[in-house]
Formats: sequence, structure tokens, C-alpha cells
Amino acid sequence: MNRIDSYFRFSSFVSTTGVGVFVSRASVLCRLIIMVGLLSPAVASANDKDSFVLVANRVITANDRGVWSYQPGVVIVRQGKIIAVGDASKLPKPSDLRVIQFPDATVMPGLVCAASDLINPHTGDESTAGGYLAIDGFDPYGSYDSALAGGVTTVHLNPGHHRLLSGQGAVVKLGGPRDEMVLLRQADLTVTFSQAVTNPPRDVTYTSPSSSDLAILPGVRQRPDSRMGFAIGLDEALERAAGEAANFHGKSLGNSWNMKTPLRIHAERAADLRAASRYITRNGRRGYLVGGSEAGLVTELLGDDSVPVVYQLGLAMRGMLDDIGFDPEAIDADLAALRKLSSSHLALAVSRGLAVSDLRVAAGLALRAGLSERQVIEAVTSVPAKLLGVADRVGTIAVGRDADLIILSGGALSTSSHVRRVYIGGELAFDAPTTQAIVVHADVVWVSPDKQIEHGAVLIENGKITAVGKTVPHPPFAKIIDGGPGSYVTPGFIDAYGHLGLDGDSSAPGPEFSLSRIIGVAGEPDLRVAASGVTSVMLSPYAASSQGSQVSFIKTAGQLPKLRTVRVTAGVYFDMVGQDPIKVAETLSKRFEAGKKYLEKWKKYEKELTEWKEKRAKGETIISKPKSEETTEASSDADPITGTWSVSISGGPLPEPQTANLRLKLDGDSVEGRISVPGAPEDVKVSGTFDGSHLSAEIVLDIDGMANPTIEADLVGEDHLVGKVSVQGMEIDFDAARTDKKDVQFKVVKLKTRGKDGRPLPPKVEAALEPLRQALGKKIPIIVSVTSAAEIASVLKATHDFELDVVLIGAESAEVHASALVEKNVGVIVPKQMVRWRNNKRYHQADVLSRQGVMVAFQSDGEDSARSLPLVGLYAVERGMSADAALAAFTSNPAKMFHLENRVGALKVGLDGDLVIFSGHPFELESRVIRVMVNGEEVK
Amino acid sequence: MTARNSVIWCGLIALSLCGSAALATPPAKLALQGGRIIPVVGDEIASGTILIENGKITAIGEKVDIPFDAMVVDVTGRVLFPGMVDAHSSRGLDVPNEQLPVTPFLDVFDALDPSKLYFEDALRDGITSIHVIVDNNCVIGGVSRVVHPIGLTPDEMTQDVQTSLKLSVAPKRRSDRMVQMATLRETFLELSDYLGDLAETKYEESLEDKDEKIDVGPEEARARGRKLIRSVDYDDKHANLVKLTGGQLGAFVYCETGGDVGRAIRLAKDNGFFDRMTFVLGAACYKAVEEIKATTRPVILGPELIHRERNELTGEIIETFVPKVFADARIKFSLLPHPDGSLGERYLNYQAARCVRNGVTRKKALASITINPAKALGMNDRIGSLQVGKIANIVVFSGDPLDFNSWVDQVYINGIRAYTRDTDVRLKRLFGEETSEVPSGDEKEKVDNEVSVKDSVDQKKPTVTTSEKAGTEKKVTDESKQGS
Repeated sequence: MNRIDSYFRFSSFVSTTGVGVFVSRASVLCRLIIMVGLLSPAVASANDKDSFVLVANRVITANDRGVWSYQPGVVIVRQGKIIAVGDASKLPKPSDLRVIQFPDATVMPGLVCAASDLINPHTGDESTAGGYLAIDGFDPYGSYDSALAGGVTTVHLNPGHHRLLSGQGAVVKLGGPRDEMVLLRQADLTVTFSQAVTNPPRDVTYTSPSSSDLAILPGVRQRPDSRMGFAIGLDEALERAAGEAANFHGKSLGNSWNMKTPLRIHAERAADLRAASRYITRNGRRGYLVGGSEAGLVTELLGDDSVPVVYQLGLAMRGMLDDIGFDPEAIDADLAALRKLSSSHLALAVSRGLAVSDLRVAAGLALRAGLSERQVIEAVTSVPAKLLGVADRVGTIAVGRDADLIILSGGALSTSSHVRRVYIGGELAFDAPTTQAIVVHADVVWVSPDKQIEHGAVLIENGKITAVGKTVPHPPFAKIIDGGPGSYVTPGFIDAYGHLGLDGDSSAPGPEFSLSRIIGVAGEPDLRVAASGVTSVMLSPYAASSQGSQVSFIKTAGQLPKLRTVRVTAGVYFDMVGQDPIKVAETLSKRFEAGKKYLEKWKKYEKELTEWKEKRAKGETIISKPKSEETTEASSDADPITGTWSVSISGGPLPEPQTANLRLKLDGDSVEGRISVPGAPEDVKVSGTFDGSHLSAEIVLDIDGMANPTIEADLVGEDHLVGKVSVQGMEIDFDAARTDKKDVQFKVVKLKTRGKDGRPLPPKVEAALEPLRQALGKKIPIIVSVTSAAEIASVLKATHDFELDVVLIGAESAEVHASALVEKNVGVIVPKQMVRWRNNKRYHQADVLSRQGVMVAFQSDGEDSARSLPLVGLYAVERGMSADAALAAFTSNPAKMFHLENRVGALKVGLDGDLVIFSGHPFELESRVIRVMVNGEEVK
Repeated sequence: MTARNSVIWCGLIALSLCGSAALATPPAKLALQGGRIIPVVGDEIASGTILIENGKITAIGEKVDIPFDAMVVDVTGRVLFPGMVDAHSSRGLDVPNEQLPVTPFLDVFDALDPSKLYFEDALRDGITSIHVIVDNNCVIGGVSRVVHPIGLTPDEMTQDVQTSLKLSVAPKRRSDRMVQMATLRETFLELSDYLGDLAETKYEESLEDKDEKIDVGPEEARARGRKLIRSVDYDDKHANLVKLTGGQLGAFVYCETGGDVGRAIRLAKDNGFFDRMTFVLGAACYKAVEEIKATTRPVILGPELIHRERNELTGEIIETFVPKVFADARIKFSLLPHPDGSLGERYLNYQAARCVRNGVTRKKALASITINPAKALGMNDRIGSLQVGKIANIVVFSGDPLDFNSWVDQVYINGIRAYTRDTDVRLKRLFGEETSEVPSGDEKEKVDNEVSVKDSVDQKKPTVTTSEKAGTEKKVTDESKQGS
């Protein structure tokens, strides 16, 4: 179906946006239907939100008994549990599960932070209190996004470390199914051996209501007063707990002790560590140490055979008050101890005052001590899970474990990688905020034809390039794409002359119609073109109207018509192939002249407006001119069109022919006049243009919501006009004969030119001349199809007179005018067939012209066949063109030709995020297009 | 004006307002005729009559046979609405909470002050039943009671001596959740120890009476002694706790966050008062809506209806309109008026109107200030709707109760006309012509009144004498308050 025509028919009912929405909805709907159709066998059971197949670049299992990591790896999750993990290429994927693809990411078990400040210490006074449960301070409905964003899924909760026995710790997950968040309600007895617990407040018991029988007793002094009291204090508490008169806290301690809850002892100093380790072994209990900044001094007590340690890593840089910490040796001192402790019994955790979200970074510092990546990862996953007693649930990616998985954008312990997603119990617990930031790394970043950056990167944010260089910022949660060894990144290719989406409609739209209006959501053909690396198309109709047609500049991919349109009117296209060279200049000049007049009206208006503004700013009174002026215009010499015409209109919706009286007056090539219809109360103004044989006019009805009817008629013989009147998309035959050659005087009521406050009013917008106004204002170029040298000369002359920018299409003989083309900065879009025989020699137009310094660009002259356009460049290079010149012909040249250097054509800050990643050199035979971005979104 | 003068003024006004109503004997038969009736339970009647006999509604409908000896009040053009129920208020007390954390031995009866202007305000705002209970800043508070806002003594005011014990799982001020929960567990553990000891003592005493010696182990002695305990044997500290665990007292449990809900349920189930538990919820509790729904226990929402939370990563503030969440989950909830401030939130019908504005159905919104709180208090057989057999607590609105241009014209409690706007001395003083001095009540109310007087003076000076115009004037101030 003829799309342009159908658009016109449509537009009488629906507004432009309406059509856009309609098109986009329709195509989204279609795709949905197709997708559902394809997936239908899987739909039945894949609805479970906690079942999926996760495919990633690397899967780290952290499982010391099985395979450590798979690359590429896959994890299969069913009902929140891991049912399989393995090599992505080998492991069969169940067909009923949805597949989540993260081809650049690393998947690892959710981190386990064995020490945290997530809840505040209790405010009780008791030095030994078994009754305080850390779980009471936990809110399963709280928001733990920042911890999850750090990759931490399981944490230990502390009742505090401000008392000898602060209470009982707990182990919880920070997300996932609500009823599975609490892993252990009473995980341990939390003991602290440090100076901080000495001299606790006196324990006062308030009796209420107090009476003479129930006196309020003075507060009781509590242990410990010094380090010597730690063990004694605990022993006493245990003794009291076992006795008859045990109070609430005593009973709680007794119950817990009898349940063989592990002992968790915080200790930092060597003496405390020794005492703690002794206390655990003496009582023959399960237990572990936490803290351990001086653990390096007592390594003989710690390690594989004895008491495990949760080593708390400080990150001195992130202190509350100081930027880089008060102790320059702090990190190294830590590392020395770590080096000695590195064993399978070492867990790493953040130190006090540090958010759990820093666990991954803090643990990464241990790499400096010489710990392997594997050791560090185990120390924040499987080892702490074992120490806390939850290894059967979390800490490793293994069959039967909870599906607590984190997806990192890059390496497991790399500073530039961020957590993109967190699954807990198979449920999506955290999804990185969509910053739409993408970092593309490649071996060669081909910024523009004359500039390459080796091992560089490009950052795209919100669809625009925001950084290019050797290194670029990695904003949190940015998606990171690595092209891999040998890869090239180039700007997106531009098809300088194509017809994508016209569906074979070869009609020539009038100068007022922009093709961008038929652009919808990128469909299958558009995306095929995009995937080939062609990200933009100069969309031109197959044929231009005699008065020129608009061309549009569009993207090949995008979810909204608005996003796909770069420029609605990107140029005015004339087709002058095969015309008499003299006539070419004449026709163009006439048209340009009309445009120039129109432009001048606007210029005058703009000038008046500025003056008016200045005056108003100065506070001058502005004299309001009379609202309208009536003048009587006199007649002139006879010409082919001036006079009175007897009009007959018929056909279309008219049941029978009608007659009308038309009076016209030619002035230059513009026509003014009045039309009167029998029975109508008054005349209606007619205005338009006449180019010697063709009358193009509109009947100025100016009814809101309705386009003015237009008359398009040709002069056939003397005094006889035949053509069509189009009203509201309907066409009516028009036939007129001149009855009087004399110009009839008629009153012309000029539009009022000033508003109420003296503000000048803008001239009437003439849609057909708008594109030319832009071209004459040097905002867009004139695009002309030409072949012969004479035609080119003629075009150059006409455009030179009006100081227009020109782009030539085809221009097989352009070489003749090469110097002029260079001088006038005229671009040439070379024909599809670039190599032809000339004088018995192969002649390669693109190469020859570009060597002479002419801007050349490539064209597809097709719709979705534009997807083979990149091959044109390959061919050109193979025939001798330089690779830089070929890249320029795809990118910077067309951008320059259409004055869109600030949007496309290079990898520069501020430009659209359009780029192509090639596996190798873009113009080498073996290179493939790996990925394509349009407006910062990957084409899939 | 001297301080003594102001006290006298205040007392006089209180007397003139409540006194006449409370001391009057109700007419044996009363018919409210010609008004639009919103019964809350059942269909609306566009124009109908309510017949009241001896303080109870005996007939309601479009056409009711009015006995010849009934006093007929024409309420044409007015709207008859059930007296609203405030399910949780500590404003009738001198202080909302005591310093001590565990005070189950307290009774709000001892602190009820009938002369508090709050009760007068409540009456003026159409609230006919108030559940007076200690506030949320406690571990275990005292027992509560349900009162009318009329009466000269706490006994006269009392509607139901019920009723409930207040508990909070959210931390008391300067405490934290670990201590809060430990204290609660400790209290109930101590209670069971106390009961064991008491039982043992009782058994020993019973043996002593018979001059026998203990013949069994402590466990058996406790088991035997338990049967010998009479209710008078419990000391003050434990008596109410025994009632709580025995199901004779209800429990109003305050939860501040979603996590508190689970702890409250656990506590209630562990200590045997789950079946009599009512949730008093802070705004953040909407997150635990599924957990709350599963319990099927009554829900009272705090006065803050909007919960705001900032996303720590994006900085975006998310607002949740809490009642909508509960309405969507099909949970019946009660609303509370805001205890302080002079803004619209202090009116129960305004709170309900906000719900409608935010997408809760009108039916649910109306129920949330009448029948739902009545149900939470276990009094839905007596109050909360206009139905035959229920106590005649009726508010006569000038228009729709959810239209904020409407005002309370008359209030009937137990069939007694307790309030009429025409004779509202304070309003007359507020909007009357020659107001030069403001009668002052206690400190807080004084400030409130001064503010509103100033507002009204700023708004309009012209003299208004008739009650009809006074109503219009009130409307203006209400709007200005909302706007401010």
C-alpha cells in the first residue's frame, strides 16, 4: 500500500501523534503476540518468580569441594533452590524455565558478612545478659538496598559489643522470601573481651510499685573491672544461670549454653585474643573470634587446627572524620597479620563503623597481602557461612543451596565492577537502578577518521556519549561491555541516502510533507539494518516533487518515533537527473527565489520583534499601528494567468459539478486572487505560486482543525487550467477557462501585522516553503540528484547565487568539478556502483574524489538492504580507498553534509551514543559486527 | 484577666455545655424526622425517621409510625450519622504515659478528667465514644475504658469499664527493641514464676490449715495449689496480667514498623492473648500487611496516614497512603484523629474523607470511623451504626459527613441531646459580635483557641448572630485552617 497516501487519508481523522502511537502500539502488540506464540509451551511453568536459568560470563561457585568456577557458566534455579550449576555450553537447560542472560557479568554466591553494625547495640545495663536477642532489633521489612548493592545477602546481627556478654546474635538474609529471611534466631552468645566492656554501669533493679516491703535497692557493681575479670565474669554469670535464683537474663543464658550455641568472642588485642581462644578451648565449645587486629601476633593459637577468626578489615580511607585515616601504616599492618592467618579458617568482615556494603572492597584489599582471589572470595562467602552455622543454606553455589546469587558487572574483586542484580532465595531482591550508563572497552577506539585510541573506552549515559579516552569514569551500576582482544569501536555508520520504511512507496511527496511522520517504533527490518552497524539513515523519498521534497534524518532503532527522529527536515531534495542543464538552474532559482522572499518576510518580522523587545525593555511606548490596511491593487500587463476564470469542479465527493468564479493576479511567480462560489456569502482569498506552467495555490479558508484546500493545476493550452483541488484528503477535478484577461481590481485585506501591545505578529507559515527557509538560513542543505558535469555546474551556479549548502547525489562526473566542490564544501553521495569503466580503465569514484579532498558519503538507495552498506566500505577499501577515508564516508562526512556534527558521526562527548563494536578492523574481511548501540541502547 | 478568672470561665462553659445534657433526663420517646440517614450498616435512606425509645433506636426507615407521645425533632435537610468512635485516645489523661516501663496495675479511670476541653471538642466534632487508653510510649501500660464525652464524673462518663491493656513492642523512649522485647519476655516469665510461687504458697497454706506437712515435690505442689488461687489473691502488680493471659482483658498492641508486627504476634501467641489482640499500627506497618491480614485481628491505624520513605540509593521519596494499602488487602481498619494540631487531621470525618480522596471506597471510609472501631472495642452490638436495638448515639450533620463544608449540628448520646450548635457557648464566643476577651482553658487548649480566634478575626469581621451564619463562619475558618 502506498504509505504516504495512506498517511494523508489517515491524517484527516487522527492527529500526527495519534498515528505514531497507533503504529507503535500495533507493532508492540504484534511482537508480543509473536513472542507469546513462540514461548507458549514454556509459559505454563515458567511463571514462577523463583525459578530461572542464569547464564553469565563467569560463575564462581566458591565451593572448595567442587569446581571453583565455570566460564561461561550457568546456574539453574527451581523454587528458590539451586538445582544445577555448570558450564554454559555443556549443561542442558530445562526448556520450561526463563533464561536470564548476563553475557558480561560474573555470578557469585551472595556475600556473607560475619560482623555488622546493622542494628544498634542494646541500651540495657546488664554486664552479662543472655536475654537480649539481636533478632529483636531486625526489621525484615526494612530497606537494605545499599547492603544489597554491595553484594551482601547474609549478615550476622550483633546485640552489641559494649558488654561482656551483650546477648545473642542472629543470622539473617537481607531480602528474598519474607518467611525465610531469618536463618538463625539465636546464632551465638556474643561475648566481648576488650577494654570497652570494663566498668559497666551499676545494675539497678526498679521495684514497682515500691513499698516498705519492696525497697529500691542501690545499684549493684558488675564485673569486669579489668581484663582479669573477663573470664571470671562469664563463669560467674554461668554459675548464676545454673542456680535456682537465676533471673530472666540468667535463665536465657543457661538455656542457650545448654543448647550448645557457639561462643562468639570479639577481641582485638593479642592478650584478649589469647584469653578468648583459651576460654573457648577450655570450655570445649564451638566458637570463633571476631576482630583480630593483632591476630598476627598470636598466629600459633589461630588457624586451621584451632579457633577460627572473623577478621574485621578496616577501610581507613572511609573513616567518618578523616580522609585517609590517622595511621598511615594501618593497611599494611592489617596485611601482615592476614598473610600469617591465610587459611581455610579465615573469614573477612568489615570493621566497626563501616557499612556492610563495603565488604567486597574491604576484602579486596586482602589481595595486597598476597591472598589469592580464591581465598578472598571464600573468606566472604563459604567460610563465614560455615562459621555462622548456615553453610547448608548459603555461601556457595552448589546443588541444594538457596539461590542467593549476585551478578557483578565485571570481575569479582574489581573496583570498576558493580552489583547489577541480587537474587535471594531465587527472588529478585535488588536490581541496580537503571542509570543507562554503559562503558564500552575495546582494543581500538576509532574516535574519528583521524584519531584512534588504543585500549580505550567510551562511556554512554542517558543515550549520549559523556566520556571517551584511555580511561573513562565507571559510574555505579554502569553496564560494562568489553569488546575483547582485537576489537574496534567506531561511530555508528550513516546511510547517506536510503528509503528505510517506505515499503516501496515511490510517490513524490510535496514539499510540506516530512517523511519522519511515518516513522514508528523500529520494526524487524529497521533492527536488521541497525544490527549491521548502520545506525542512522538520511531518509529520502524515492522521487522528489518538482518543488523539492523534504528528507529526514532518522535512527534505525528506538522505542519511540520521537527518539528515532534526529531531524524532521534534514534537507530539501531535488531530482535533476536528465533535465536540460539550463532549465535546471532556472527551475531551482525560481524555487529559491520564492523561498528567499518568504525568508525575508520572516527576517523582517524577527528584526521588528527584536526592535520591539528592545523598546519594551527600555520602557518606550510602542505605537500600535492600525490593525489592518486596505489597499486596492491595480492591474498590470496581461500574462498567462491574470484575469477572471470560470471554474468547474466535479468528481470526488461532489454529487454534481459545481461552478465558481476565480480571479487571479500574477506577481513574479506568486499568485494572489479570490474565489467566489455562487451562493456563498463572500469571496475567499487564494494564494500560491505559478511557475510558468503549473499553478499551485491554496484557498485560504483558515478554519481551525482543517488544512486549507489546495489547487494543483497545469496550464494546458492557452487560458485553460486542468488539475485537482484537494480538500481534507479528497480530490476533486478542477477545470478552469479564462473569461477575461484583464486583472480585476479587488480589495486586499492585509493581515494585521501588530498585536495588541504593539508586538509584531509573525508572518503566515507556508508549509511548502518552510524547508527552503531553513535551507536558505544555512541550517540544512539542498540535496540534488545529478549526473552530468553540465548539470552539476548548473546546480552549483544556482545554489551559489543563493548561498546554499549543497549535497550532490550520484554526480558521476563530479571529478570534473572537484576543485569547485572542495572550495564550496559540497558533499557528494557516491552512487551504489562505485567502480565503473571509464576510458577503458576502472574508475573508483569514492577514492578519486576523497583523494582530491571532496567530502564523500555512501548510500544504500534501498530500504532494509541498507544492512549490506558496511560491505560497501569494505569493497571501497579493497579497491584502494584509505580506511580513514572510508570511515569518514560512513560517519563524519554525512554528519557534516547534513549539519548534524553535534549529534552523530564521531565518538565525541555530547554526541549521541551510537556506536558499533567490531571483532577486528571494521574493513577487514574476517571482522564481524559484535554489538551495536543506538542512542545508548543495545540493538538486539 | 487573671488566672483565677480564666479557670472560672472555663468551668462555667464546661458546665453550661455538658451539665445540662448530662443531668437532663432523656425524653422517653424521641423521633428524628425527615433527615437523610447514613446508617453505615445497611442502605442509605434519602429521607427517613429514627425513633428512639429509652436511649435505644427502636425504629428506622423511610416511614416510621411515630407514637403520639414522642418528642419529634425535625431534621429535614440534615444528615443523620452514627456517633463516631475514637478507638484509641490518651487525650483524656493528664499525661499520655508514665515513666515506668511496666505498669499493668494502672487504670485510666484514676486520671480521667471530665473537665478537659478535649471532651468538649470531641463532642463538637461528633465523637460519641472514646476509648481512653495510655499512649504508645510504654512497655505495658494500664487498663483502659470507653467513655462518652459527657458527664461530670468519670463514672458518669463511663460507657464500658472493659477493657484492654496497652502493650507496645516498639521501644519506649530512650530504649531499644532488644530491651523492649527482653522486658516484655521478662515480665511474662516473672508472671509465671509469681504464679508458681503463689500456687505453692496457697498449697502450703491449705496444708497448714489442716496441720499437715508438705508431701509432694514443688511441681506437684504448684499444680495442686493453682486450683486454690482465688482472684483476690493476686497482687496489684500481677492481677491485670493474669486477666490478660486468661483472656478477660483485651490487648492493644502498638507496632511501629513492619518488623514489630511479627514480634507482636509472637508475643501474643506465646502468652495466650492473641485472640483478644488489637493492632495499633504506625504508618510503616503497611509493609507487613499480608502478615496482619493472616491474623484477622482488628487494626487501628495511627493518625499519620501517609508514609514517606527515601530510597537510599536514588534519593527518591516514596509516599504511601497507608489506608489504601489496607483497603486493597481487604482488611477492616479504624482511623484515629490526630491528637495535636488544629489542622483537619484532628477531625475523624476529615481523616475518612482523605481516604476517599486517595481511592478507598466511601463505604470502607465511613466504616473506619464508626463500626470498625466499635468492633475493635467489642462494642459493635451497641454502637457504631444506626440500627434497631443499638444505643442512640447519633450525629446530625448539616451535610454529608465527608464534605468538609458540613458541620455537626446536633449530637445525641443515649438518646439525649448532648450538643446543639445553637447553644454552643464557645462557638458563640468565637464568632459572636463583641468578642474582646478569650476565655482560656488549660495551657494547650488556650493556645489552640487563640490561634483560631485570630484566624477568624482576620478572615471576617462582620457580626454574626444567628446559628446558621455562625455555621458559615465556621466553614470559613475550617477552610483557612486547611489551607494554612
